Amino acid sequence: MHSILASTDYTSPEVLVGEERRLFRRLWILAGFRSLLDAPDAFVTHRIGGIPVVVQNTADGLKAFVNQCAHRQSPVQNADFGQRRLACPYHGWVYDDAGRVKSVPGNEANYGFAAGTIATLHLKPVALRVVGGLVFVNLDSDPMPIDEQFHGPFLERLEAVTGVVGDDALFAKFDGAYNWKLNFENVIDWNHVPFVHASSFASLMPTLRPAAPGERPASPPPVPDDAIEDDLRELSYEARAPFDFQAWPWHEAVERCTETGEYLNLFIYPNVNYVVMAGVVHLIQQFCPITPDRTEVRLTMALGRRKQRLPAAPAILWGQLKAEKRVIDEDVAVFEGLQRGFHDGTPRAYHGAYEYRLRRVAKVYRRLMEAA
Amino acid sequence: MSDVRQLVVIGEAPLATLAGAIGIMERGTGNVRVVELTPDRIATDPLDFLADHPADATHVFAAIGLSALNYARFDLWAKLRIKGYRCATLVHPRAHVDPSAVLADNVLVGPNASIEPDVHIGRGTIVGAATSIGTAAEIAPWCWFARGVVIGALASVGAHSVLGTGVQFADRTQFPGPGEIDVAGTYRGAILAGMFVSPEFPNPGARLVRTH
Repeated sequence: MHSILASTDYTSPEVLVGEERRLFRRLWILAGFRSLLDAPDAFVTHRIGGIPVVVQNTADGLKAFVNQCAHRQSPVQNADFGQRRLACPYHGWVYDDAGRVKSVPGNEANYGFAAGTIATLHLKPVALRVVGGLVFVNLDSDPMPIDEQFHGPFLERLEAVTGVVGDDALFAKFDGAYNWKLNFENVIDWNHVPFVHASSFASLMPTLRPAAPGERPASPPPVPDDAIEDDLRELSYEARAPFDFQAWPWHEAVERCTETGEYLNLFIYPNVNYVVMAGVVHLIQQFCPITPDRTEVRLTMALGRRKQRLPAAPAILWGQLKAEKRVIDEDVAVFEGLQRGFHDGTPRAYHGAYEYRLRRVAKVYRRLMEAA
Repeated sequence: MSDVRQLVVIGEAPLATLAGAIGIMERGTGNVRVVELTPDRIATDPLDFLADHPADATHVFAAIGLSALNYARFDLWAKLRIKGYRCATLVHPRAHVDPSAVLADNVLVGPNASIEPDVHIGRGTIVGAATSIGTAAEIAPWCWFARGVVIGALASVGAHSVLGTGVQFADRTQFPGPGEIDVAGTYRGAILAGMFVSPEFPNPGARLVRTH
């Protein structure tokens, strides 16, 4: 069964512009962990649908804005994470909790703005929702209700799983030379694990080994395209698999959300793979498009909320993140080879029955991209 | 005068092997015992082998490598201290340590390393072979310097830092720790707290979002 997506969907600048406008500026997009924004003036920045966004902990709670100063459009916050008041580093304009200009240094001498003029200047607000331990933003001026993007039970599950995340976290990002969609398609394709990750973590996931002939029931043939539903909410879901994690004494020092022997994924459409390892290590993988053939992968790894002192938390996170990156690099090598091979004669992917979810993603994607 | 107390080195190769070799050069073969212990057993192993070595007549050395940014070595050291043992400071005979330098317990200085005047090295830090630490540098406890690291004069390295082979800190460089730099090159100035740079995450590396 051929995919409804063509190679140009992975290579065309025009397609990326459409994705920015019709997906990333319309859907709820994960900004990050709530626990990392607990401190006063804590912030996280992002680039969503080509637009810079800042989420800031103000005295009036969490707020999201387009991260461009009302003066010369410079970023108000530059770092990926930090703790700093809302003040533009370029010319020092300061903003209040609502994103309004609070002060313009040297206004009288340099700018000559009347007080009434300054009162009209502000950062552009962005819709924000907190779900458990996660912060989502939506760039649409009339954002869709979040339960039109995610099923209610999935939101409840997100709340339960992420509600235990603490504030020990490590962040890293890197660029890959491939289209962002390949990454989301890959994380929901469990069948690649025994092949791509044969030398890393596949052996620890016994249920994912390839079945011998006759070992498992024969798969029915792939369903036709018109039998695949195109409900956006179906694209975000939970998957769990047994995993041979080693139990460490420090596991008892943090709150857990699943059993030790479980690898849990929460796939959050369009661009997030949320992983929980051994019930205590949480990892956000975000696949953020930069160009059609360039993706920024943002990794934020956190532990469950501390129940007791855990001075080794940075060491634990660092060891886990390095191990995770080695696995991700195995995927990236596949994506980059795949992307390099795209050309105008590339045939469409040919899907079998198990790739039903991939085809559903493609079908919803196509509907969203063709919407007005 | 050499110390003739028994030395029991507890840990894993290659650090335990090196520590044992230095101990033999200091105290003679009959006075050194090396016992293998891997990081995953530190929490549960009762260390029964120490029953033959009374605490008041024995030095010990926690020779666990850089596992968990040296927290595993710290855990073993703490367990040994609770049992009343004192930890040795081990300096390879081919290392140069200026007499004014201060080395805490469970520090190991590898062969051909050079420790210049007024250097302070905190507890549990491992200084690899051919590593050089410049005048008046301050090295916090529980660091790990691989072979050939260069620390400039007046530099400071925070606790639970790991520096890989070929890493050079210019004079007065500050690395707050905990963190790791495992990509060879010269680093200078005030490096951000909680920075991790490795082949998996080359520059700009990974960073702790919040440091406590």
